[in-house]
Amino acid sequence: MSFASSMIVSSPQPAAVATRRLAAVGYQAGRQLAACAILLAAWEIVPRLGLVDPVFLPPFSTVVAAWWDLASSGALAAHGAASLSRAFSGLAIAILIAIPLGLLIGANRRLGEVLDPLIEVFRNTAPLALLPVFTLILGIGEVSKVTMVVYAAAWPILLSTVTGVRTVDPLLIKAARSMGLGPSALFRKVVLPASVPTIFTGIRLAAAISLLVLIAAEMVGARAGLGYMINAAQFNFQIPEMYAGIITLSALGLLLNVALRRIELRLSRWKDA
Amino acid sequence: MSAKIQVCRVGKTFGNSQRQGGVVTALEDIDLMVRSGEILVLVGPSGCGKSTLLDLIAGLAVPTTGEILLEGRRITGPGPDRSLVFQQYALFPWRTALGNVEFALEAAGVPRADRPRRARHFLALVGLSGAEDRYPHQLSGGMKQRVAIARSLSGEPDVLLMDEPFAAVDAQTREMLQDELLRIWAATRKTILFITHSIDEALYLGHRVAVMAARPGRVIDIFDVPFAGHGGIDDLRSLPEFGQLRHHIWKQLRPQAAA
Repeated sequence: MSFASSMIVSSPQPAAVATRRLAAVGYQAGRQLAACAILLAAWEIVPRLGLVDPVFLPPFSTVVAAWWDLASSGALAAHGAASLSRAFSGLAIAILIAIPLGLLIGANRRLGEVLDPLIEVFRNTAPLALLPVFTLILGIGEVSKVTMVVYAAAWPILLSTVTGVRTVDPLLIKAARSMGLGPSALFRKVVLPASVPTIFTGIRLAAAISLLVLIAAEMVGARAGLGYMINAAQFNFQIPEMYAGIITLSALGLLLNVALRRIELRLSRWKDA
Repeated sequence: MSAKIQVCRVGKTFGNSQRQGGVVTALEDIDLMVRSGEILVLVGPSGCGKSTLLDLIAGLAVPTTGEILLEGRRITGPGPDRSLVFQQYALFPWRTALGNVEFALEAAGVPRADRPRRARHFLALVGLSGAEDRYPHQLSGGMKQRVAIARSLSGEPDVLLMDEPFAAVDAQTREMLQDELLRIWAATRKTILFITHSIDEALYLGHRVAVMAARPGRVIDIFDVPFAGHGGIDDLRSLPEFGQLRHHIWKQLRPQAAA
């Protein structure tokens, strides 16, 4: 944006201004990437110097080469697609279940009082501890893994929705009531829009959790997916491939978080100041 | 002038005798009449129940004893004939200035096609033409309160109920908004019930002033402001009569403040 606007402004030396701005942007990006660059350099050098066993921690360049092989063979795309489709379908189902339920619990004080202790118990039960239960009941196929994601992702969404509904500024409710809004219009026009940013924070957390939980589930029992790929690579002693899988995973998580944070900022623009 | 609002022997208590803390009497035996088209200001210390009284008239709460009549009919709930303006603006932050005014029009059942035009009209009335598309967080306190006033006027209510509307803005903005309100009143002749804890503000705005005392909340004095409506006077606050009335109210409120 700064680059484009500097081109439009009719300053005496637009090119010079643009260059300076570009340099500033580059400098900032450089600072932010410095820590990453140092880490990667260390990853490259430390195994080469023999400070760690390069069999267990191959140099970064070897990992990149392995990643390239995996990517060009289509294996990475296949495993990635398997994981993402599970994570997204689980997340979508969790959203469809948890938001309406959260709205109901948040709006209904009595229901909330009854269900709050139950929610506390389930929320504090590690989802992975329930994986054997899901596998027992649903088998080792897709259903149990997606169910696992649904279960893990539903809690943050449910809790943030309940919080969102319960923490709407009472003054706004009073103002709307004084205008003659009935309970249902009040809910649609005040409570719901006021809760959107809080609900979306829950969705963002849930997205991160769903990927996390899915990978673990895939490591325990699956025939495709990044979790399976990483685990299988380790079993078969394809160590560079294992690291390639891990890097792919963290890049995916990072991208997902950035994208969701963008949407979140958009939705809560009005909350500024 | 005819009575717009009649508050008849109204009492309001909170809590119950069984529970700890017992009963708190917020209002006791309030009799008050608001004339059609006047600005009546309720002045009193914090905790004297003036906001509670406003809630009752708005229909947001029900009196424990007595009744409140609007043009002879008992108030049973909120209605489009009354609208509230709050100290903290109470604007919907996810809606623009225009959207906030449209919200009230929507609530009042105005057809969708007419809303933008009417909303613009009322924003212009409070001097906010050009700020229609701004969000509340992009507006100053004074501008927010103008939007809130435009919103409350847009449903064409008979009565404006204003709960310390200018207490949260700085002194200069407050004086500007006070003059703005007098101008809007002159243009619309709405009945306005205005609450404040500022004696100066009460005398500056009110045609009549009712003084309230706390514990229990009650009306202890009500009088006509002799210089009311003299908007032409250059500096109303420097009149000797202004000072005398100011002192008169201050004396009545003083023991309250000390207690």
